[in-house]
Amino acid sequence: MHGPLQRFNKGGQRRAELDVQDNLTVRDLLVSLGMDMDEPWNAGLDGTLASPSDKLSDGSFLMVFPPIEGG
Amino acid sequence: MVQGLANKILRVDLSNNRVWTEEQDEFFYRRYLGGAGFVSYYLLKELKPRIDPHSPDNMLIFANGPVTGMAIPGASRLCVGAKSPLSGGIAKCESGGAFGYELKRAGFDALLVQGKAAHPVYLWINNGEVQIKDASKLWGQNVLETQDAIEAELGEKRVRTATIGAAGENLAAISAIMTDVRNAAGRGGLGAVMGSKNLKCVAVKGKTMPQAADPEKLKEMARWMNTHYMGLSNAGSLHEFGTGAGMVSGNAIGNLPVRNWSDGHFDDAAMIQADTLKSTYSVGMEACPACQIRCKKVVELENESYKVDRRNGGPEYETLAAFGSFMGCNDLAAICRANELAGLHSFDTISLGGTIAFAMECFEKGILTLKDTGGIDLRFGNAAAMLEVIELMAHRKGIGDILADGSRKAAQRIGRGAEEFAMQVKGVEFGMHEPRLKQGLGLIYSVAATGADHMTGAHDTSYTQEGRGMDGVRSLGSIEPMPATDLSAAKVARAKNLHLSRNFTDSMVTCLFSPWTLRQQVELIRALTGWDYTDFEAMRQGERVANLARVFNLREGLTAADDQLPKRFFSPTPRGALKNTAIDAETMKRAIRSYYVLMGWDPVTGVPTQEKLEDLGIGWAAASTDPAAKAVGTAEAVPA
Repeated sequence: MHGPLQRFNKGGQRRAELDVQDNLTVRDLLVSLGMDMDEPWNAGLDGTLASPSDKLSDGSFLMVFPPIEGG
Repeated sequence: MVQGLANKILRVDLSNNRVWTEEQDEFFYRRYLGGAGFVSYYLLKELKPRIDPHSPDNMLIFANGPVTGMAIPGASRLCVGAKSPLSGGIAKCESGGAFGYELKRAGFDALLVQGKAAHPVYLWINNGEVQIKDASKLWGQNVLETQDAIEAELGEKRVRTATIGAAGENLAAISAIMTDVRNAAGRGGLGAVMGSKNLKCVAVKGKTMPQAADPEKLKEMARWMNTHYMGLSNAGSLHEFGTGAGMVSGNAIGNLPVRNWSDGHFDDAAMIQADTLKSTYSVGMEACPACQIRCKKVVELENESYKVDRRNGGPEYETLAAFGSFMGCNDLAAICRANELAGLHSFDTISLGGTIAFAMECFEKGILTLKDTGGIDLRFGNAAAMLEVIELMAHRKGIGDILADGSRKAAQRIGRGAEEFAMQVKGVEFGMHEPRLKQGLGLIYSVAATGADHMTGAHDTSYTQEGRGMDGVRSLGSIEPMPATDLSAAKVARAKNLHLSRNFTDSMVTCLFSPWTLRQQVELIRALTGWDYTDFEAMRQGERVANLARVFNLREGLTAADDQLPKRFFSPTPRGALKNTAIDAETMKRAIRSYYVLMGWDPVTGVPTQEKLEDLGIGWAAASTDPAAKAVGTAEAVPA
């Protein structure tokens, strides 16, 4: 988890390996981590932009970060 | 007289050595507001049609917003505009730093420069007094040298400046104007307009803050923002890293542009990320006046190849991407040095990176050879070549002369099929955000008057799920999240409304990183001026700017045929998150047509109707909608 969202990850770390039940959605995982779901976020799941309802499976790689705009 | 404003517009005619002030009535200020409103008004109203952008008849406009100069977070930016040498249409962009802040405090809502000086000059605006001073000894100096020389000559410290370097002096169509040395009014070639006037620098000092109608309300709002900003936006990341903390994440979802948009994944994204910069060459962060976010990187380095002076700033996201993944370059030190060179020579880093990457692709495909490049191995990833070519472009030497005017003109000169690889809209290279992912932004890239300008459209990935991210669109009538790659009629409507709200923000000249809502910006105007300004008026202002700019472009010869993306975006990337995702050409055509209809323009030609212009109180602009422009064709923009 990147930027200010990192604080919601396990141990506040950038990267963490998590044991989760099968077919858990991206949204459910983030809620279980205690993330404030009101905070702006995007996620990449296994190499593409994820939607909150996308399901995780064994070995899934999820990246969560603030949306990127100008700069 | 309008409370809170300077109520004076400074005008300079360099051909006749004349300086005067213009006073506009309250109707003018309420109708055109400031910033982008002033730029689009004056260009359409006063420029003769179809002039050469380098001619003395072009007008260079430095425009403040209504709250510029107040101690308000995000209110110190500057808007600059002119007829663009790059597109032949309108150039309008914004820069940070303190120039705008100081110009307002010197007593002026805007500075309009016309004519051409007989020899190099600079303007010295000192608390309302204006002098045209000789700049013969400054011509040829880089931006930092010029800053130091002017402060020494004037015996003043902390003079705020808008300056050009070699790229502007040599009329490079992708040159910028640098404010306070390290902030760029980048897009559209405004540095070349300044250079064409023999104007090296505008130096300003001011100390008088205009008196607002309700100063206590403004202070209350400033205090509120300073207390709450961290929780409202990406401020935390900006504060720590500046922009560019999202290279790896952007790469993961396909937003990071790679090798002239030809690829979809950059293996070395982590090497050019802002947090990598923080742990290596960063020596701190700095801020624009009254802003607590402090997003501006300061870098310093010295290695066996080169050194970077902290006074020249550090690379932001656009620059990290443009000189990094976009050129296949993973050398962060070289990127910092390229950023420094771009600033010293006054280049727009986006168009500079876009043009060199174009040349790199041409070289790899054999369209450009070692003979063309003067022996430079101009392959993707060659950082040394990148640095060498930047110098050649600044001084128009060798291949640099061909590339100095951007990828479209370079492709026209090179021929041999190079045009396929010039990635631009209306001659303007793309901001570093992938339209195949952010398809609403792709629509705005197509139709915006300033070309492929990523700051005129909001970014689709910010509005894909519920939460505070949707705050920016709900009040504009778009209440449900939509996928980033959606290009339905509803997405077109959202993209259009966000574009108009951006035009309003650009009339306010407030910083997009300072998370003022539309409603709050309206409250700022009300507290400043005492007007009963409304959200409705604010969106109308955005619409007015879009229509004035559109009419200007049509008058100058741009047509609906210029509202199109390069073919490359209608195919997926070969690798990465978008390997199965492209823009559908027919869907984009329908989206553009829908956009025209929603704007009240002719659905085929995109010409604003008389009724629409009258509706916006700018019926006078209808005289400029050239009947010839109603025919859709393959008209090219008027070349410089």
